[in-house]
Amino acid sequence: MTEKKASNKVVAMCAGPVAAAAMGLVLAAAGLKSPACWTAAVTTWCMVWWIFEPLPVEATSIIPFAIFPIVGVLDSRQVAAGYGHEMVLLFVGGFMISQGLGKSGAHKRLAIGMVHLVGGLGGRRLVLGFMLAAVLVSMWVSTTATTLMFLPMMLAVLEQIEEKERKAVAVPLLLSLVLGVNIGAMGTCVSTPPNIICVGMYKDMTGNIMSLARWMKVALPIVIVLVPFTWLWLTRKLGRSQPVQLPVLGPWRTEEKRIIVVFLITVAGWIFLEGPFGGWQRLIGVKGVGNSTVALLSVMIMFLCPNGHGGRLLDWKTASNIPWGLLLMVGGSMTIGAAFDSSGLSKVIGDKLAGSSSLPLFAIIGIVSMGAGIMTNMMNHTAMAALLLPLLGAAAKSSGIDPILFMMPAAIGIDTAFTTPISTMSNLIIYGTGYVSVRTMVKEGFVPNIAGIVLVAIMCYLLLPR
Amino acid sequence: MGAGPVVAAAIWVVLATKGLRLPACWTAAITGWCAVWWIFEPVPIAATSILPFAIFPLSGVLDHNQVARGYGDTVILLFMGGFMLAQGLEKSGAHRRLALGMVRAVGGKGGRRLVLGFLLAAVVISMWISNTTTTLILLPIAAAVLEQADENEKKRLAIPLMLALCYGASIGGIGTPIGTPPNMIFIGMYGRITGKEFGFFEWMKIGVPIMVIMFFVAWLWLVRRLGEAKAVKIPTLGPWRAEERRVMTIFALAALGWIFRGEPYGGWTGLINAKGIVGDSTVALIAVILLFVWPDGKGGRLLDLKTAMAIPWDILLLFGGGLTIAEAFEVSGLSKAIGDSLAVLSSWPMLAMMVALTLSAGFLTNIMSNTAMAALLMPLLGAAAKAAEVEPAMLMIPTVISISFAFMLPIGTPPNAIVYSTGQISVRDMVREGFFINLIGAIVVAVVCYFLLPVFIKV
Repeated sequence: MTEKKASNKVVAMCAGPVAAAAMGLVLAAAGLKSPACWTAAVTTWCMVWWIFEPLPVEATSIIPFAIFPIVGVLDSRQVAAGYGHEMVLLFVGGFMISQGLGKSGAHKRLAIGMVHLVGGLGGRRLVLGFMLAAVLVSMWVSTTATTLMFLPMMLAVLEQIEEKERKAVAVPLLLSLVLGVNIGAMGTCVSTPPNIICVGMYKDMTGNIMSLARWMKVALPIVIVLVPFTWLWLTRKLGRSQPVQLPVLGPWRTEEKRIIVVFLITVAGWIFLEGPFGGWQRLIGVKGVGNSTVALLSVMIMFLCPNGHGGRLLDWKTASNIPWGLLLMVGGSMTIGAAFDSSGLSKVIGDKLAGSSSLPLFAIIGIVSMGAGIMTNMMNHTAMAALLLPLLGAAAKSSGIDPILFMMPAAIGIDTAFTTPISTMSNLIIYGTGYVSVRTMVKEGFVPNIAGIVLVAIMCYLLLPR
Repeated sequence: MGAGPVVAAAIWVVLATKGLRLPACWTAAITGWCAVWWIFEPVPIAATSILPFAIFPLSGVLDHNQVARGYGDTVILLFMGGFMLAQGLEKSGAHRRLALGMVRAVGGKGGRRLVLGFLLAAVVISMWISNTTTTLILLPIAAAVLEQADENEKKRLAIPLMLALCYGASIGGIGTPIGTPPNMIFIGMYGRITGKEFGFFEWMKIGVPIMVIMFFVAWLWLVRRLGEAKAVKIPTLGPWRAEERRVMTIFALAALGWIFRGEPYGGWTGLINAKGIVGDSTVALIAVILLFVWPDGKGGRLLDLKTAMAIPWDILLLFGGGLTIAEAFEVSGLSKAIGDSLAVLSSWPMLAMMVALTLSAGFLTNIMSNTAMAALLMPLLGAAAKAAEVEPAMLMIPTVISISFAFMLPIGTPPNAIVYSTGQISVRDMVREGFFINLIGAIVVAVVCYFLLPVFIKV
């Protein structure tokens, strides 16, 4: 490590607590209660360290678990509960499936199929193909499942690219997946939690139903504009590169056949979990099955199914090779969400956003989508939606406006949080591949984030019936 | 492998015909399945631990959010923090220096004292880091000492010396909650069953007396045939390095933080007005952050990511699986059903019940993974204790301590396997020497718990 780099690290390390103290003091001076100030301060600290990485990201993720109890925001059991979130298990299961596919080499076959499907060329075309596929699938399938589905294929494609070119292609390619997935999910109200929550709450609040068709009438134009924009932005540095060299694979081996079958069943399990007609869990008469259950079942099957030459499809050595440290990050972001909630900080934010309801409608929609889109980069999107949407709905109702006018820009605004690994699982999964640093994510995601917010505001203003 | 589902189906059918409610049948069946796989290991233990997470939602006992909560327990965070601290200690090499220091201070005179020195080092170190690592660092030192002895002496000395390592590691593990995974499983399950917290210091009040007694029992038994011997040379290390000093400081602070968290006089959490909010896990994680931040004096940090992430994540999964089973026991009503059928036990005298438990656990643990055994037995005992209207800790603690007492077989616990792998001792030696300690151990644990637990546990 050079002298300069080391001193940069020290500066970044000090910047965390200093920024935290500044944030805490400002809020305290503004009259916030002390737990809310602490929550904001600790979150700021984590953000600074996550972005500038004076410590490894995983180590920074320990901070919420360690500091919240000390400052009295959450007790040690409450922080631990953040680590026991369904998403943590889904992360374990999803990555183990990916490991299993990688072990057999079957993901290469999936990738080749995919590359043929998207038009087999290198560089920008490749990115566009994958992005379109991700957008189309994630409109209907949970964003996390979509990301986990495409990831093994993408990694296989990256393996085919020459070492020195790989890095340059990896960033746009992987980010096109995560952005594509998040953008696609905006288009419908079935595949990402904020939109699902929005529609559900709207129904509870007003008795009116926001049908899928009504949603898509407003949201689809946003998707249609944002996809090409994001594609151009992500690939701006990609020149006309060589077409991907596809390896010639021999006939299918038993191992590959079996694991592909397991994988396809898993994907089907994710897609048809809750619908149509109540999904397969209704068929077997239970209702507590989640995406994580499907993933872990699939992992169990891989552990049990023989691979045709004496072993199993998945062994523990391969399976345990997943980025465990990132579980802390999933848990940490859940803990931050819980702290926002219990300290009353989220209510303050919501009130501030909702308090603007005396402004002209366009300004309100702008502020709401902006606030939601920026804040969600600091916490989990589901938690954000769960706490922001009811406040906005109530504010709109009390000033005699159709709540959807506030809620929909907020929900879709939340979906534009592309810049950090903590806002959505898809973001975190991509980060978990190790190809993309937090800083790259911020740098590449910021422009689409802002563009998305602006678009959401405009489209919602123009297209939502008043 | 087939036996797991078959046993599960059998349990399910038997219980269902007895008229138990469906969720309770499912819970029992899945637990039986896990038990079979944990004992015979057709798939790795960690892979079996995924089973409860996957099957409980499928059978409708718990939903997917509830199973995930099993993985979000303070004991998991505490153990994660404890493992990472131990990794930091190992990275600096300070644990080797400590071990050598103790061996030198006590064992320099050779013979019985030598065995005492190694036993002491093993016990003290394995209170804080894993039993396996403790054995691994002491092994080369013991081997170096054995090299110096002549043929004749070597033969007599090898067995006591080698066994002192693995027995010491197992005995030391019971001293603190973080000493060995079963202790933590007890603490986690106890919290689930009673809603009360079982603190670090509270555990030590029971664990340390038993540890000390067993330390002397093991020493006297192992050296019974050793006469006086000549002094031996023990390898030395240079002066303390900055890195080692710093890690030791943080480790000592963490230990103090754990011990004085809630008492005496409200402890330090009372001082900062955070009593009941700051847990043992908080202490561990703060110490880990300190290790990540503090320079090691040669351009790096005391703990780096690679070292920290090398902790045994599979054991954490096993913890989570066990806690999920415990949760299912409660939610499904199985716990109550078991308790009712075991209520006859309450007519037994308490001491007899404890001896029965410690004896069976102490011998069974020789053929089964300690952690998996604790994960299976703790919910059962908790349920039984509740029905018999005794404090759950009265049954759970003696059992969980006995689970650490695998002294007879190489497969009983990794330290035994490591020592066995040196080729210096045979399985027969281990069974012969270990049988007595296993037996005495069971009685010591039962008696000490019988007298101390009512004093220390506020029922």
